Amino acid sequence: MNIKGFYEIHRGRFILVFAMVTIGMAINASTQYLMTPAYNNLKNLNFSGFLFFLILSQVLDLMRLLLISGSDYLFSQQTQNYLHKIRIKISRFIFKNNITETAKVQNDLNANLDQLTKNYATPLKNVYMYALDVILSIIILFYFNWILAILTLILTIISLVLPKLFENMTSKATIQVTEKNKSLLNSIAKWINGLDELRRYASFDIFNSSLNQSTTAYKKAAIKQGQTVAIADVVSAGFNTFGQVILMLLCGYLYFQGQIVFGAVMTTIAFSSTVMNGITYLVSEWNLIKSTKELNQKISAMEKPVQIAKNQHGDQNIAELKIENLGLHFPNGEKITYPDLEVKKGEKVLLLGDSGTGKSTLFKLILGKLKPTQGKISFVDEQGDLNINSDEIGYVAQDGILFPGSIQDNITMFDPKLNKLAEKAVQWVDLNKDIEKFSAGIRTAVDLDQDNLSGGQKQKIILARALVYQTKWLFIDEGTSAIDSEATKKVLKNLLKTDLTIVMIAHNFSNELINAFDRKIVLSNGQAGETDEL
Amino acid sequence: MSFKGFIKTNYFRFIYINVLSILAGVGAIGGGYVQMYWLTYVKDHNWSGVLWTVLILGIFYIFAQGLIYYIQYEVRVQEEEYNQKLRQKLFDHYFKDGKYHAIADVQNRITNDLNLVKDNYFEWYIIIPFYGTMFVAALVALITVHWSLFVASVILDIFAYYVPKLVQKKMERATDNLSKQNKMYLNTLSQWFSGLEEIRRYFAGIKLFKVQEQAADKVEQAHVKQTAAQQEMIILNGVCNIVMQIILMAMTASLITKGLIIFGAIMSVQNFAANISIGLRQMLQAISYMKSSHNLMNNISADTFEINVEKKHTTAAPATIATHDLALDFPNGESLRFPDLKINQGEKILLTGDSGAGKSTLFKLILGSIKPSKGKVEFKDKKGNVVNPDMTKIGYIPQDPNLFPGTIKDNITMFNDHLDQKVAQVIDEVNFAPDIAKFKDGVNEKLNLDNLNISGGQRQKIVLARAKIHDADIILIDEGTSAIDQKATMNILQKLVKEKATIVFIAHNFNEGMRQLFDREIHLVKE
Repeated sequence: MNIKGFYEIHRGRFILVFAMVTIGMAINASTQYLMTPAYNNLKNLNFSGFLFFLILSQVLDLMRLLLISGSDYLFSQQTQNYLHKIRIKISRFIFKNNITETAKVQNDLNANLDQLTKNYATPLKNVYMYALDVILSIIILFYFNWILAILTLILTIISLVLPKLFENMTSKATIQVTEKNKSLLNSIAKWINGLDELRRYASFDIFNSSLNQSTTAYKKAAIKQGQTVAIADVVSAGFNTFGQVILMLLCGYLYFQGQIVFGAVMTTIAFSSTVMNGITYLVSEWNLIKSTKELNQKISAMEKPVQIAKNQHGDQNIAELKIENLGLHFPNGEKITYPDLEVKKGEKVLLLGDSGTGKSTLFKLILGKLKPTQGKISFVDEQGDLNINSDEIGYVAQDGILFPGSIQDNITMFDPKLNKLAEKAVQWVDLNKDIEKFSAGIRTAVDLDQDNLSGGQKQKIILARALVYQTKWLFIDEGTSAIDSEATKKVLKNLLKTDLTIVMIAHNFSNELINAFDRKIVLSNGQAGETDEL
Repeated sequence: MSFKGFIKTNYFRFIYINVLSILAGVGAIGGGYVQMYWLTYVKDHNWSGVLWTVLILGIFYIFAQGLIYYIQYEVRVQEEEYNQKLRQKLFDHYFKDGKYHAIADVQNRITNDLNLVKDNYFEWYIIIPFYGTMFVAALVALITVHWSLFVASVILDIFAYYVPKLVQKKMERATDNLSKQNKMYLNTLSQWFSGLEEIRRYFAGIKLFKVQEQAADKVEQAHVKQTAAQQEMIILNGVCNIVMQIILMAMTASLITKGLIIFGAIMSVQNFAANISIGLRQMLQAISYMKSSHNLMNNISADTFEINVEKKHTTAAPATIATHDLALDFPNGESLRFPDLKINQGEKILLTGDSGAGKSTLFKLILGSIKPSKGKVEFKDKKGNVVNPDMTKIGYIPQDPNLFPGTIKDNITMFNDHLDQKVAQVIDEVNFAPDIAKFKDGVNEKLNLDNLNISGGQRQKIVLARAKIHDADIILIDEGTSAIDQKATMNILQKLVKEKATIVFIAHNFNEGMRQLFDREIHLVKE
């Protein structure tokens, strides 16, 4: 998020917003200024003169109110439009970089942007507004009398510096409270944990005295914190009062000397407090903007345009999958090594092995989700190695994911061109009988919150999805585990009839099913497993 | 936890705080009153008048501003002292109520809950005397200036209080809508982005981007609508303010030109009017905040309720344990039923069974840390009379033994100095002596619970020693040697079975030799 971006979202509106603020603040200064002739009239007991300037001033104030509120509304529109554009860019970034952690996605697209709105966008406008307010007030004070302006500035600077002197003291006290709180929590954890045991041995005294020690320490730190905060606050309050007293004396003196008109005595105090408050606000808003620097950089990095890959259908060119010398070391010291394997186009292979032999890991390696620590995996054609985008390799997971939409949408992945094919696919995966029971048939909405589909139905949808896309290479990781055996047989029969290359991990298949595959590969625990040709 | 309790913590300080707040409220209005004279003196070129009024004004403002911070400090002291008292009561209650307490719950109650009440109740309380005084003093000040100003400002304040309510509902709706849209957006993100890999595989990115845009659009529009509602509120309040200013200042000016009130009133009258409305609003807000804490305070009170442990008539060392129709229902609908058991004095019993058959639960039922839903556990003395058991005579060694901050010795004696001289002997009996020798400070080695400086086996030995030193007649051991190696386990078992104490031992993986050491085996089956 930056000023240039804000401007470019809607240039006309951007200029309008800041023009409105500028005019609004100019009017604000004149509202206060017009009270000077009003008071002068009142001093001379001229009621109608007073009333005229009073009403004029208040009408101007109404204009200021409408202008500033209107600009806030327009600025909010501008901000939200800007956020919309940022969200589009970030979601593409997330897609490209495969960020699947839900909490992180939600954070990047929502919480962080809210933070920026609150601590960057809104303060940006406020800084401009307060700066104008302060500058105009100082100019008017100068116009009254230069001493008033200088005194106001000096008082403002001191009131900004003063709290810094106490910062060290108060933050130390706060840290103490946090620490004592932590040790209180710690001691609660230790003593409450064995409460049963303490009760059995009636060890109340040690329980009581240990915990009281912690709470007393906390109490002392908390009171000490209250004390330091009070001292810091009293000193600043005292100084502010002192500043006001000095200013009032000075105004009286200047009036007696004939340096300022009577009305200025009263309006000076208003202008002076505008300057003091305005600068304080300005500083705190500026600090907010500064605090977002890191977040803003992070978000800017995600805003960079990314290239979204198109489907090149590279899978159709693959003649063979070759695995040589493949191995993976885990950070905890475990390692898996694989036998050299070859899978030819069109083959139907069953991958077997005990749990822990690395079947699913092998799939992850082939699909590029894990990087091997040794050896290599290559998809080749007659010419040699192919460079395949691993997204183009078909993969069916045991717990595939469904999206909000109809069953049909979930099969076609929202591509209406595939709707016809989806109806056929429903039969291939034996989902037609399930669908008949739904009143909306294939257009039944998948309800992710209520979970209106069984595990088997979900797996069938996901298998149908893979079939509709006709990816030539399909890796299935227990993709039929929740489907009953009768249906599994049908689904497999249909699958194995196709010209697709299929590698499937499965447990508990009957011999009949196992024999339906061209061959099986058995991974065994530890090192190299053997391949078992049928 | 109650307001009365807060007062009772220190009566004198409570009165002192209130008196000071009243003074601070008077000071704030007094300053405005003096300002009125200051302005008049300026107009009349009265130098000494100006000097005096500025001086008095300064003192009043110091009073009003400085005093309020000092009061906040005194309130804090009162709160912390009260909280300290409450914490003691809470700990007392938790110990004596005999119930299970999750650590996080206790931590929350002792720290967060008490702080919440402090922030939302007691810290708001002090607002009431301060702003209440300000409210009254400003009214009085206005009357002294002129009765018509008083009447006008009261009418205008009422008007200004009710007018914003016209759009308040709309603003609440906009805020509710925003939070609803936000939730829906987050839900959409979680449903779609958790399947990102699948979407990439089927090149359905376009759909994902469209869904994101549509959901984001709704949130963004809700934000803009909320801003619109907020700005409407600001404009309405602003218009009220402008009308008030014009009316009050015109009235004041008219009274001045007629010579009915002093000139300086032009500056102070609108301040007084503002103070009346601020005072009223702050008081109302304080009361609504304080009300919102009532529930939490009642919950805390329930936990501070003092428990007088009825001395169970007379307790006696139990000799035998019998269970009748014992059953336990869990909240999730599961239930456990136990066969009727009789454990005789001096018996050495091995308790086995499938996981989930309720072995550990049976121990907890015997110990009374869980109450059965049906049936009962009966303890009898040597003569066969039913007695209230002296629980210190039943030793319990759980799978995950509890240790406390203190030395090894403290943990064996449970902080009871009278048992100190027996420590060496029990350490020997549980095969702990060789381990002790390795510690720099021997039995006086301090246990570091954050970064445990002893092994699992050593922990079990400490708890075993704890049971023995308290002369337990019955020892219930739940996998008490699972972390001790086979040789040492055999060694301990051999010593244990020679004891005259009754022993019930839950164990897995015992070999035949170990099983033989027991008199009999009870096997629980899951129904």
